[in-house]
Amino acid sequence: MNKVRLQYLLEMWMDRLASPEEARELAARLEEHREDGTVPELLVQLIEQTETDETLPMEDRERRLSAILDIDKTTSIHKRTTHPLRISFRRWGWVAASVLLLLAEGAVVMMAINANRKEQHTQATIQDIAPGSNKAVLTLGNGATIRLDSTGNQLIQQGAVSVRQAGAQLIYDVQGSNAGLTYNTLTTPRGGQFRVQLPDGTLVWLNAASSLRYPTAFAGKERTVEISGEAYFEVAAAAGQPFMVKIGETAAVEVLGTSFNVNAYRDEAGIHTTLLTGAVRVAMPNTGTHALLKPGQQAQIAGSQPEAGIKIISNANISQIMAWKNGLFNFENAGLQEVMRQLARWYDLQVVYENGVPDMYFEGEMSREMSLSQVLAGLQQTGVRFRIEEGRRLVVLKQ
Amino acid sequence: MVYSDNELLSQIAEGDEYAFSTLYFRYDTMLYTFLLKLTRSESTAEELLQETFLRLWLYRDSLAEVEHPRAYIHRIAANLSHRWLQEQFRHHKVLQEQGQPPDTVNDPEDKLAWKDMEALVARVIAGMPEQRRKIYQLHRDGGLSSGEIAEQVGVTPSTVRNTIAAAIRQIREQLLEAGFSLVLILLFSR
Repeated sequence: MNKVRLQYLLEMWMDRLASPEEARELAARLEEHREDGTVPELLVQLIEQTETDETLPMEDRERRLSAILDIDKTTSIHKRTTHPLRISFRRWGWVAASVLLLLAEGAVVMMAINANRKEQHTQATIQDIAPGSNKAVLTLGNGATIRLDSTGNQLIQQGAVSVRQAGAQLIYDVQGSNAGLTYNTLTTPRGGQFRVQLPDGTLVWLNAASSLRYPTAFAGKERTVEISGEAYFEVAAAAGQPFMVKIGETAAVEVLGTSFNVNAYRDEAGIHTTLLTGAVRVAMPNTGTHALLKPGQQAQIAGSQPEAGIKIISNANISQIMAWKNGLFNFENAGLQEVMRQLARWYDLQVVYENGVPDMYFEGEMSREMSLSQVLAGLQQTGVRFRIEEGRRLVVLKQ
Repeated sequence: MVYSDNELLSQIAEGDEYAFSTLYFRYDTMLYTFLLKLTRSESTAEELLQETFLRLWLYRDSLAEVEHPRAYIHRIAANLSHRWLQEQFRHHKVLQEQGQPPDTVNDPEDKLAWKDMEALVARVIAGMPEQRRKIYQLHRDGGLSSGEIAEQVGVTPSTVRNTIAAAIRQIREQLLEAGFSLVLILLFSR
């Protein structure tokens, strides 16, 4: 009872609604509950109820932080050239705390992009390039192609199979049992991504410059699909009908459980299969090698030397691997080339290194919803120099 | 990489400033909003916020054991807020007895003297045994890892880690001796 009253009084006081009598009563009750822990407990509750003011100036927030971090340093702030600089992505908000961090020559410089300042950092002559979006091309069994973007809603009938497009997702539905075997291919261009629900209910997220080939009905002993590029699967359970993902001729993933990501871009290191939940078996059909993955593990097949077999990495960096599906780039420990490959696929760029590849490593995350100029403004702050040329060419200059 | 608060605390325990910044930016807005509402003073809200995180930082060597970071951080802020409320209302009472308007907010006298504290920490570091000072400075000013420091100084990485922990303890103890209230009122279990 006391506690309820105390909470009421505190709330009134914080809202500046307390009468002088209530203020006196609050003082008395605070005195009464000095030592018994009631007040801190209530204050925790009040903290957790606080509606956050998202408009606090970043400079102030950083100044307060710096003061803390500087307290046990002996060099002065002003002399430190590596002092962290952090600016927010306004669009993304602080929840996603979008910070690019450059690690170069042992110095730690935190960098980020202020979306609002993009004009200052980017030459006015650069034509901005929008980020990738939900788009794909669906190729039907008869070779006909249908362009898909996120605004479309349509129904495509193929025999007993109906394909419904609901925004950025395709949904397959099989009526009757005699669907016949035809294959569809969903292909995302550079700068595109799309999602499909297969006839068995399996969900597939397709990243940019990727493709998924699948039958319009799963009739056989196995549910087999084929991918290139990168896809994340949430496989619907179907007893006695395992799900198989083929990656070219090199690898196959036999799915015994539910969700996993396959990254098989030809310009990346190899085929990386990461299991989030359930169980999958990664196999190399040509050599008979296979490995069973547990959740959190990643199977790696090196692109340059597949004969080395399958390497299992425990404690795969799931949030980094799944960043794309969650609308983020994750550049943790990524070298400049890796960063550029990801940007090239999403912004449909051709990246050219004018004078060798600068040796830099990045950290942090960034929204995939930013325009290229916003991204480049951030990169520029980390010291990467470049120019944009006709034909979506990004020329990385010498340091 | 989005680390959980617990992962961040383990990294902070190793002296990782970036992890500390990430954690700070997760909580500072909500806490500051609360503190401003409670104290009605920007400077007081700022002091209490900084004091909350300063405690985390100066007790970083023990943070890896914290199981519920959110509750822990909120609890520190709540305890500091409680201390402030008591002082405030005591003050309040005096003012009222003197016939002053009740809503005046004055900073309590034991406001965190940041400059003094900074100066004291600098003195503590300067007065450390040479090896300890060198290792701590390489760690804090140079931002080197235990491994790198170990190589440079010619000791094992675990010696480096122990030395850093001892240096943090020494700073904490001397701050406490000098009368800065820094005790983590609770190092609570769960």
